[in-house]
Amino acid sequence: MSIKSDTAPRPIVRDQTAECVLEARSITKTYSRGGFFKKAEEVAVLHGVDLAIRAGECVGLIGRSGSGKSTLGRILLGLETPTSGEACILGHRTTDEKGRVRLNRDQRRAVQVVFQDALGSVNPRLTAGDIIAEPLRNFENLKGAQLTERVAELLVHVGLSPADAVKHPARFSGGQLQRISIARALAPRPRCIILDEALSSLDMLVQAKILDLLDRLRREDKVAYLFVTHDLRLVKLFCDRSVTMEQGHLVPFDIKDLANDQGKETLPGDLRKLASAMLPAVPA
Amino acid sequence: MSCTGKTNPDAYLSVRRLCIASGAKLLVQGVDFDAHKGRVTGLVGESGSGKSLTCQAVMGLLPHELASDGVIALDGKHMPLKGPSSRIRKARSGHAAMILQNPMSCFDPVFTIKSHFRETLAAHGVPKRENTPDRWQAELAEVGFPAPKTILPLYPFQMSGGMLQRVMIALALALDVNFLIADEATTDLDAVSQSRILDLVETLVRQRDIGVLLVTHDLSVIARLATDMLVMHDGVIVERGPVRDIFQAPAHEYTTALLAAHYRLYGMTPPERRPDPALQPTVPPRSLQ
Repeated sequence: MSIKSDTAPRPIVRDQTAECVLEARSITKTYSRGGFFKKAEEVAVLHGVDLAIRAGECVGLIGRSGSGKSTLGRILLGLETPTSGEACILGHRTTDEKGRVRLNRDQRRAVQVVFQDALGSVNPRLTAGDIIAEPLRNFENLKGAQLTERVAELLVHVGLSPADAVKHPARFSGGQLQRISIARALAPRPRCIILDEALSSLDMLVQAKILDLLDRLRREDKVAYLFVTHDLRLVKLFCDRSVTMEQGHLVPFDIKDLANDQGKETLPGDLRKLASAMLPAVPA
Repeated sequence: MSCTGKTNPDAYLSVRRLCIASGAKLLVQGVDFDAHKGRVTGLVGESGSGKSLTCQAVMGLLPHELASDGVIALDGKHMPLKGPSSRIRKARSGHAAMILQNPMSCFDPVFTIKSHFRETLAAHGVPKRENTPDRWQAELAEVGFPAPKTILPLYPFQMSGGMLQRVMIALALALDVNFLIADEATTDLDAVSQSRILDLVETLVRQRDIGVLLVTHDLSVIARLATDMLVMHDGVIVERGPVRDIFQAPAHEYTTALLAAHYRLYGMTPPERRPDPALQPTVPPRSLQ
């Protein structure tokens, strides 16, 4: 077993003029909690969030659990509507005047997602092949041998074998299912993939392999990523720039500041906590 | 390490020739290891390598459809691998307890933490007059809740993952066990909660002198806490030894690959594989009787 170290930090020249694939413009989100017997309580999760992701860029979004990272991801995908502000995919709004989600075909194709819960994000009655074929049928109108070939190619891409296409989700481990979810996200050749804690439950060897794959796609096809995580190591290794969710606001920070104590002082509170909770690389 | 099947009387947990099979497929192929009180033994391996099955076998929780064979001894006493759950529970009660991954799904959402304590202690034969809120609160205080009284009436969904994991440890400790098996116990928690749980386990090892089998796929958790480690691959333990030695110079190819991935996460250069391939004799797959 050997590991290719393709993802050694290589500088990527960021194109400031590249078009925005995903954009959040002063998004706020409020959930209501309780309210069955008493008055519902309003909980503000996001207070005016601005974020723009350009083609081929990888943005790390860090925060503690419950800080609203996933909520922002869901709003950007058009799975939820913002309370105010707007989300744009390919420069067009995801909601209409009445605040309902309206996405056209290109927008739906452009942004794909991989969630943390692999078992919950696949249909247990479909085979792995069907799961990956679904976006291909939908967006690329592939059929027959062509479809089978592309599914096999995607399976190999994520380190599985073409023979796995006939198996049902129950026969895969968590890590393998996560790779099927990633293959499904890659299938329609999206412009941006939102990875919502997608790598945190994977084995280290698989994680390294998937990181290499994602990195290759970024270079070859200019795929952009929004990398939602609480693992600072992955952000350091993989992301061009990083922002942290701090009490409903996005605060940009320099990942290099984590290495020295002076820089650490300038970081916002939650991030400082995460940084000091980082585990050692070698036994003390 | 003896291959004779004799358990080590000095070790608190001693596993010999453990084989687990599903039909004709061997999932765990003759695993031998010891774990001691007051020490943290790390068990590393990828998903599907058989680490969780090994833990389940130690606790007697293997699914019925799996065939198993081998010897497991806790505190010098041989433990039944299979049988009625009351017998399994009685044999291990007071010796070992296990804490699991994803605490959110380990609790019954319609019962309060108080009910969980009462039920767990009653199931292990604690008499009613000792099964009191005072005892529950003392355990909760030990795992770091400053106001344990406020925790007891809560429902599991009102608590965060990190809090529930500490409650799970408190439930395990309430039975005065000497050995704790942590099966990916911090994998789903965020970094801050994870580090608090690991600090807690370290304190317990030091203060109560319990032994811990720490199962994980994250080598930094091992680096943080464990003194010895076992590396499992395809149902076989391929490498074992003190954590520091293995991190500096792994001997097996698989360990080398794991460490390379681990060091890459930190942007460090991986260590060279030890040139001397004087490995432990690999245990050949054994058929089950």
